[in-house]
Amino acid sequence: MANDATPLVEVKDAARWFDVSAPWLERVLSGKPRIMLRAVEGVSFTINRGETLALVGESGCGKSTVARLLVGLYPLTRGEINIDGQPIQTLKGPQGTQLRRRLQMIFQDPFASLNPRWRVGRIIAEPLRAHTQMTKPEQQQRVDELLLQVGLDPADKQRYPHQFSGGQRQRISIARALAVRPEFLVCDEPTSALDVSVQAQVLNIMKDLQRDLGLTYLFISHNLAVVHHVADRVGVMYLGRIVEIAQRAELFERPRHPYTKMLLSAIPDMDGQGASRTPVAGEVPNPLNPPSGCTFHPRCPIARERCKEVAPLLSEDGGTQVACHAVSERWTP
Amino acid sequence: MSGWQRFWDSDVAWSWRHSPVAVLATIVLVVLVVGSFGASVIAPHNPFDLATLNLLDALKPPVWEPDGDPTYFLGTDSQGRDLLSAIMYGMQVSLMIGLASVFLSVFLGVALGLLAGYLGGRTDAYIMRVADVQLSFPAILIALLIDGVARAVVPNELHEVIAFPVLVFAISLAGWPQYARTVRGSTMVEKNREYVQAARVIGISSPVIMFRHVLPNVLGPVLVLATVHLATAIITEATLSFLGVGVPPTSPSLGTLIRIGNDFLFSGEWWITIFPGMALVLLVLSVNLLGDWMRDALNPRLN
Amino acid sequence: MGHVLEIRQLSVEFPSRRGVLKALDEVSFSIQAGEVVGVVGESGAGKSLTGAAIIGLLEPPGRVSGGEIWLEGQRIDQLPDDQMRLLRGRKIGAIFQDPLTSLNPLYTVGQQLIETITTHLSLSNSQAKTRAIELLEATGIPAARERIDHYPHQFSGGMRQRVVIALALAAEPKLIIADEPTTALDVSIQAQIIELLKRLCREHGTAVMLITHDMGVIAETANRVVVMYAGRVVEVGAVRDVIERPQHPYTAGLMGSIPTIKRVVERLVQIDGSMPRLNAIPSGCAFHPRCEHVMPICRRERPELMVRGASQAACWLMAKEGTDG
Repeated sequence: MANDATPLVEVKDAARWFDVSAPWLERVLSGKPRIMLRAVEGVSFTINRGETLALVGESGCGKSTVARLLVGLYPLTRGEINIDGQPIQTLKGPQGTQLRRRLQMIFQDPFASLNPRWRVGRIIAEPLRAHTQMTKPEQQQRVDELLLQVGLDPADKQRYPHQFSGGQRQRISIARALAVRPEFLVCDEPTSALDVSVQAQVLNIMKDLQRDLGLTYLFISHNLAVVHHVADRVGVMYLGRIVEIAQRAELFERPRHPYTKMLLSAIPDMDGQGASRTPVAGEVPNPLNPPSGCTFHPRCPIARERCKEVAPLLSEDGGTQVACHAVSERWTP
Repeated sequence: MSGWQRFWDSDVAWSWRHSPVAVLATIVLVVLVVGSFGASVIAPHNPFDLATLNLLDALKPPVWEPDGDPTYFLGTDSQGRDLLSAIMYGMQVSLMIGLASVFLSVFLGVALGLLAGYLGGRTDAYIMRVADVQLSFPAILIALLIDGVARAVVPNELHEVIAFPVLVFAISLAGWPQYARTVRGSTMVEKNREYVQAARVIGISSPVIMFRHVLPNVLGPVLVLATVHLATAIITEATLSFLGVGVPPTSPSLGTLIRIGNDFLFSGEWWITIFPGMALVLLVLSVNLLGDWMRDALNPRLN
Repeated sequence: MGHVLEIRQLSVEFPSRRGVLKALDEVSFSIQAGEVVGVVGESGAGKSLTGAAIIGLLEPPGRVSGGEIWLEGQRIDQLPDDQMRLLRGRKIGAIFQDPLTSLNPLYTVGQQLIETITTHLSLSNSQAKTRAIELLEATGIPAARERIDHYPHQFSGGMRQRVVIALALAAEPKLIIADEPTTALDVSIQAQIIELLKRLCREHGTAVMLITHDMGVIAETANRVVVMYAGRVVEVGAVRDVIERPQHPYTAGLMGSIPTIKRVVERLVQIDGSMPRLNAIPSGCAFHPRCEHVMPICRRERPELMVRGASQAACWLMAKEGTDG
């Protein structure tokens, strides 16, 4: 096992392509080629123990796919993912259960992530049944413990999900995720479907739990304000690639990538004064037919010829990594 | 709150209480079911016990007609068998076959639909093609085919023994595709929902996910389908028996009774075919009405 | 009176088998010409219902059970259906959350625009078409002359919402009700749509009722804001006043629970509990079980909107602290 100094999660050039071609017969008869959707195209990052890395971006940028790659819901098309030194493929093998105990996931939709026909107690105990040899009474005790930890009542284990509100269901999801004491939690937009005041409750609990249990989070969101509140480091994604990844304060105060800058200026913020700003031009292109070179170039105010031809790689710029020719080659404006 | 109290208080029970059609249909159905399954206890006569039959009592009209006999409330047939009792026993046969067929259909259809929906790919393609092919044949035709093949293959002495299983098998075979299709559709939806993904992340195996997570959530529409299918199965069996390829004559169903009585329809002994016919209609109607109500009551509404 | 829209003590009820549920309870506010009023609240607060009641599109069995709705000096809550239909589109335009379902997929964008224009304005078809093209151009759709013959599915999400805005403005309404117009859109598109809405309404002098749960959007777009809770109005005031100096404890809690980029906080403000369900609304002030300043009177009597400085809040603390300013 690797020691504490190595990152808990290492992702190297991960890619995930989806085959969205027409059915085989149709393709053969009409001579159409295979169409691959490159949902994630060459993503690399690390997450240190106890840290929260947030991945932020708009719809279609691939952040949810990255989340699912990290818990083994999708196989990798290319690249590596290592959890504490162990490749993600281990999940499928005989050592799989060991690794699974260490990572869990929390989903976006509080209404769909709990089986409506199961009682809450059974839902939370499922990982215990699958991974431990705990007896029924031991399981019940652990379930009670978990319910209290997320601010619910042990009596709630007799009830059904539909009897709870969205925020409470999300807490049940968290309880389930924590059942086998994982180290790493992947959270896919855990508060996006919740009301603002409920979101505050859930975010507070998540921060408390992280502190008390030493958890590491990968936090996916499209909401930059939430990300600003929870993250230690932030990665910005666009059309399947990471365009910038930096410490939280650095990203928000000194964004480097043109997309990051535009994203930050586009958010309607409560403290904004309603002054007119130049909004981001254009819309996210069709991921099936991405622009050549740097996929952001059609919308980029400082794009040049080079941007249309060559896709930039992540390069260091004082602690931040940016994928932009203008930054790495230090173009003057 | 006890389980029963909770049920009585639920939306479904409330809807039933407030639907006169549903309540009436249920009462009629209960009466028919009790009457048929309790036939050996309740029926005034045993029409199949040859010793009790009296040919002199043959072709007696119902009790309210001039020649009627109070012991034979609805009259007798050409062999002196009491029609009321025959109907009760006949309904028992019809119901048993109907229920057994539906049960087998549901079992087969739900299992195949679940597999097709969850595993997808080739499994899905094969199962659905078989279902499609089968759906293009009318149920009666399939039943006739299977029945015919069975009779040709199996030696004569065993015909009576295998008649029931073959009949049940034939009717279920005609019925499973509709369950499979519905369940497959629901399964494909549920498969992509987050609670299934959560189970996969936890590391639960596919069969366990299919049966413990997905199955309870796709059974809803099956109940409605089954109720309606029961009516169809009973009619199918009646039709087959009417055609003479259904149940053996020693344990006649309502269909058999209708056939036997048909010969007497125009010679004036109308009751021999009309009453079994009415009983069949009553049974099927109440099942259908109950099924209709159930479809609306179990439909998730916005409020 | 200068108000384009005035709602007085509007109440909406839903008879259900468990009794009558009061979804809106004596809601009152007004909107002037050219003003953008944000109606903000969490799910179940009744903001969408208010919009639906005004347009006359309440889903039965819901019905207006009390109060009055006045549009440009004319009372509209009791109008028969056919008259209401004329009003919709001509005087009131609507923009809903999902642009995909707001447009009929079977007709081209042009056909839908022209239909609305000719229904409400006496223009010939060719005049209507010219106007339709102008509208599309005004909402920033490139190559409007060609795209007018396209179907909704040929537009992207953000473009579709622009078409919906064009449709809402087609008959030059005096009031636009926008229900979560940007929630389903990406952040960068949101900004574009907000800009568009602000500009067009400023140019045409249209009053806007902007319904949303997103305070950021309200902050950027609205002049005044109405805060709703459990079917009631709890605070009304200018946007900056309500955000920086919230008077009602719920509003204060709400503002504190929203994460913002400008500050770093360790913990977000947390209001314990959740909004009551319609069949379990507390007596007196609906917020009292969750309020840290609760007083005995709060449990007994429901507070009316009381003036405090430039805002109004429905809270007994106002009465305690003194008279209006």
